[in-house]
Amino acid sequence: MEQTKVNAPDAPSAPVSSHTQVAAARAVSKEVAIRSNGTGVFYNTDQQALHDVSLTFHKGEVAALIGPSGCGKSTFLRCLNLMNLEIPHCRIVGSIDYHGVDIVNEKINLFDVRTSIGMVFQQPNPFRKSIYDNVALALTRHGMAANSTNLDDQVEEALRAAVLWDEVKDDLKKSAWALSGGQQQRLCIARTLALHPDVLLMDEPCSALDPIATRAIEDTARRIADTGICVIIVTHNMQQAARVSDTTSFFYLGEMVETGPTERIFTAPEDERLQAYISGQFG
Amino acid sequence: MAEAVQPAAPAPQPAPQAPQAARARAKRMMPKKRVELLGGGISGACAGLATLLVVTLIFMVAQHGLATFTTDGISLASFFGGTTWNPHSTDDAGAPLVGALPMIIGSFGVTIMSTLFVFPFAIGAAIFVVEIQPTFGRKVLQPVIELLVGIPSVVFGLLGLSIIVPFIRGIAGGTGYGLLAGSIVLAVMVLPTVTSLSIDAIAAVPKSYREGSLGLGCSRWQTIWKVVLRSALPGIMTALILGMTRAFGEALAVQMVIGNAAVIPTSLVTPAATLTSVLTMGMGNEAMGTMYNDVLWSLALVLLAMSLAFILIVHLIGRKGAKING
Repeated sequence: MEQTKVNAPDAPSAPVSSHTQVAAARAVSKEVAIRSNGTGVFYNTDQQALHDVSLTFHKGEVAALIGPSGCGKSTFLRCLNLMNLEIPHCRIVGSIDYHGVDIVNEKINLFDVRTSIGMVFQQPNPFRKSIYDNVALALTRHGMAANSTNLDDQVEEALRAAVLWDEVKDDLKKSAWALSGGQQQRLCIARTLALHPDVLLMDEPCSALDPIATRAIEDTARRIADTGICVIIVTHNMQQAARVSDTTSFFYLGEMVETGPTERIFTAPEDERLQAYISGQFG
Repeated sequence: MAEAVQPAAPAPQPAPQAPQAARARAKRMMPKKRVELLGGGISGACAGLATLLVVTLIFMVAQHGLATFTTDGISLASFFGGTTWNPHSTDDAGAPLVGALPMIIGSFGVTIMSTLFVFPFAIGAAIFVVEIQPTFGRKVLQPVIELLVGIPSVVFGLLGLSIIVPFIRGIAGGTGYGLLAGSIVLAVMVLPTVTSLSIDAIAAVPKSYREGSLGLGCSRWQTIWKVVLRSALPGIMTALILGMTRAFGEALAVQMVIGNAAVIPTSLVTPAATLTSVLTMGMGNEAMGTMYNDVLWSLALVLLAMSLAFILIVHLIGRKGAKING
């Protein structure tokens, strides 16, 4: 097993890099999914956690946000679906353009935004319900199922999209808490995908998982992106960023330092802080 | 220990001294072990004493309580099914009138009603403290609620007597004493306990579940209702049952407002009685070993059995919750 893990990044390295190039080439004509302009975050009016981040994410790409702990990468991610607004005394400045709507400053329906900009969290957090109900909950809450057969179909579709269907199809009524950590995380991905988002935010989705489960999540993220969804993944694991992402952005001390195609970021970093980070001088 | 030290002292060579000294050190550990044994013994004895107390208590209550049926020859049916409570007199057939059914109904009646009254308020208050206004709730409300837990029950009884009973009398007529007054007083009394435990149960739901729900575009209310309360359910059930245990066993406050008429209640506002109120009123007046006294012990046995049953349910819920959580 260890052997495969060591070999795995090498063996498909050629296809991955060519894939990256294909993605980069596609990126020119690709549709913009979400774009931030000078986005910053304040806690308690004077504490600025994030400064002036401007990034563009495209449909069908996997974008990685990397950086040391406390660098603001998660804070930025939580701006994109306005999750930061759940924190008392937290204020977002700048703007975030989503399909021509500035979701930071315009009056928008927060709940609608969060259905189309889905989020998967660091700790797998399935609800204390059956596997089926975990996926069905939000679908029924938002009135997205016409009848029970239709609901069944949508649940199956979502579980297939998260590559979980084959493992759970026989016990959909089982408690979600009985699943393994990796399965729980894919269930969380499934229930997000059930709402047909066009942006999927993943906040260190593998940090609580073992290497095999991590691989499964990474493959899932890749597949989801191939269906045209924009996947934005925060990770402290540089290998993971290199494995799955098309573009990478490096955050440091609340600033976005450098962004570019993943291959270039890891082979020819320009900023010396990024060079130091990649060579493992801090983390 | 002395043996080990003595041969070590006259040996001047450094080479053999080292193992000797090590042995001496090893030997010196022994007294600590003895202290450990002593500590284990004392705490074990304390634990044993506590267990012994409980066991003997249950044994004593059972012994006296069962005497009703063994020595006094009262049938189980006439005790649990009889509707007339007047142990000093006998019925036409000559059997004493020891029907406990009115009190059993009274006890369950006030317990269930007070739980129904308390449930919405406790859950509502707990949601407010944890979810709606955490800063104010945690700093001000929760300490105040916990302060209420310590108020003696006689105070609640007095308040019930001077406020609730006249209020019910004014609205429903009659004396005002009865199951309704008892339930309201009990509800106010167990509200702090149930609220405080519900707060703990809801606060124990990990933040990530709330985020997961909000992240799916669910509103705050949907999150609280569908996810948070659902996850906190075992804890909330435990809170409710502990509240019920307290309500079931409460004597003084209930006795002050329930009217103390050992008849099967026909309405909520006519005088009734509970197991506890009959016990408190009768226990001091009857000589030990008489049939009346034995029947009172039987009432106590029923109370004890019910309390044990409640606690057992709490444990079962806890274990089930642990299984789902685990």
